Amino acid sequence: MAKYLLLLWFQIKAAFKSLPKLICATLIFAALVVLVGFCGTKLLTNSKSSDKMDIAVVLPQDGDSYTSLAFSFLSEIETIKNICTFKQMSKESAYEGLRNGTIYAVILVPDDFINHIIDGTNTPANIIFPRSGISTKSMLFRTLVNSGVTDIGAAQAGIYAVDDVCIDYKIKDGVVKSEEFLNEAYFSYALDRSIYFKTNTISATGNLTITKYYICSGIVLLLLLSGISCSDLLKRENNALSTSLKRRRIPVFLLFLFKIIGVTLVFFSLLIFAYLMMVLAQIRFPVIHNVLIYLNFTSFISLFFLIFGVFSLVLFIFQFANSQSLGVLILFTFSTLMLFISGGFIPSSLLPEAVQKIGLFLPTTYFIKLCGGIITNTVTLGTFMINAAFSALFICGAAFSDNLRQNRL
Amino acid sequence: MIQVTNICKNYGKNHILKGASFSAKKGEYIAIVGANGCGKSTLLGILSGSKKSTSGNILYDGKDAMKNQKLFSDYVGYVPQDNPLMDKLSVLDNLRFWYCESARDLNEDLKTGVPARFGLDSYKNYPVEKLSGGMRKRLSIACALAKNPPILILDEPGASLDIICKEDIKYYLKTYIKNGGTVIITSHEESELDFCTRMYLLQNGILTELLDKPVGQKLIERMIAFHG
Repeated sequence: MAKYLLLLWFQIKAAFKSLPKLICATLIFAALVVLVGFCGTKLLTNSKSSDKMDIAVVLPQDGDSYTSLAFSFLSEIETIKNICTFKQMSKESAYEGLRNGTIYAVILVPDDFINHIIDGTNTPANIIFPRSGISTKSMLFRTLVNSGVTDIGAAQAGIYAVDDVCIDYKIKDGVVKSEEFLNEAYFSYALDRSIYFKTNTISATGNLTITKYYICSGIVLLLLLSGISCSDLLKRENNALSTSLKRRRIPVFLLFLFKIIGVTLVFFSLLIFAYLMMVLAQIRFPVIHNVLIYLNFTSFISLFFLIFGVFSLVLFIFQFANSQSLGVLILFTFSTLMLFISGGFIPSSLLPEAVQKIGLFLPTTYFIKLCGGIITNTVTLGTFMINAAFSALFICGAAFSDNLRQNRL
Repeated sequence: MIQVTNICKNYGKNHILKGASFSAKKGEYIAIVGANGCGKSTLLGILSGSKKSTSGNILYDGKDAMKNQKLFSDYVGYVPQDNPLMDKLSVLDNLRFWYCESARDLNEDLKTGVPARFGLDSYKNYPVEKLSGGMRKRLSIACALAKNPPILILDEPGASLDIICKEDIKYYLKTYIKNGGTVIITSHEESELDFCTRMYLLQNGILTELLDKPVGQKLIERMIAFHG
């Protein structure tokens, strides 16, 4: 037992002896990762898909003030404001905008639009969409308008029906009272726009915000790249040492396990130290409080296993590669590629379906998931177990590769 | 002391060892010579328990080591061609690791034992990666002898070492056999062969004793003759 504990202790000691080198390398990689993360966040938040659609409103030349007022009121309604911008313009400019694609639709408002609504003439407004290349946004706007028109039609039909009933049955003050009541009822229904919209958030980054998503993939990328600076610790041991350990009946997988524990402890301590520094710093700089994520005990444990999982993969690559330099090359290439397929750079839901399917088999997908669980304090047993299974697979794979090599010699 | 009978080793269709047999008593210095790649290291690996033979028997003091693997680590101190050391750790830590199962006291040995004899006490806090090749080899031998084994197996210990280091190791090996230890060594160095008690030539998988213990030009001629 003593030899196992001593071996574990020595692996931890060797890892901590490399601390200055690891800190320097990690800082360099962190700068690289922050840059990638910043670009990714910019790409997602500034994408055209988040722009509002511009709708041209063409008012009659001698239009009444009620119509302008009605449109400015309409454009200020929260749910409309979030989706489209009404731009009052001339008919010619509106058509030009429709042709060159800067305008999604044109609303042609007829003369006396509001008065006609009041007196029941109901001259409809014309909505013109581009002849070709109707986008999702244009269709969304058409749906919005159709549902609005249906509401108005239903309200009008209701009011006129009650008016007719009151007139037919000669109910005194019936028309005034019922119209007051129905106006209030229909307005309260129609103005509550949330009735039309069932909130169903569809995000490329799952239940994480874009920033959190890139923090997760950034942490995983940072850990994977840090494997390069740990190559001295995780590289293949010379055959003589492996042979000697075997003679002392120390299984090689135990050596691998201890090596990973050593490196994991170093990075876990580094991250915990950085976290504690931020906790302390918020006393002096309260603004940190807004960005600091408070982790629970499960998340701390999961963080340890996340680092452990990543370095199991790194060790596997180094044991598989013939030399340290080849290992570095494979690690860099594969970690970048795997992270891309797993949606670490562009969320996987935006990648082709075939790539998404491949991603399901890659450990990096689950590293990102576990990291997401950690920073939102929502680690599930399933994600945890998958990561543990990958770690076991990599350690056994590395031991198997070492055994094969020993038998070939 | 050690009785090796009919050791065979095959890698697929390659027959590396074809029934190697020999024996050695206390205080003997057995040299095994042969061309590069002839299977010397494989034979030493089998004798030290780090490789498995395809067939054959090894007895240490009459006890079958094939049936009890622990005998290998109890009886044999093995110094492979490369140094079995943990580079990131200090000399002292490496020694500690090999001494942890030993009845010997490391602190005592650092004053009077093999580590002290090799001058390792002055380097005890040095990381192994900063040691010279000669000091590493000395440390490897000290580690192999941590459990005070009666047999020391060395695989080309003098390879790429300077003359002073070679002489130092040679001088120690003489002391070791004088104290009743048995040495089995593979080497191409004349200085490591000239005081052997018996010499074997391994060629084409066959181990043959060279009764006249030739060294230098004579040995080369003999090897060419066997090859022819």
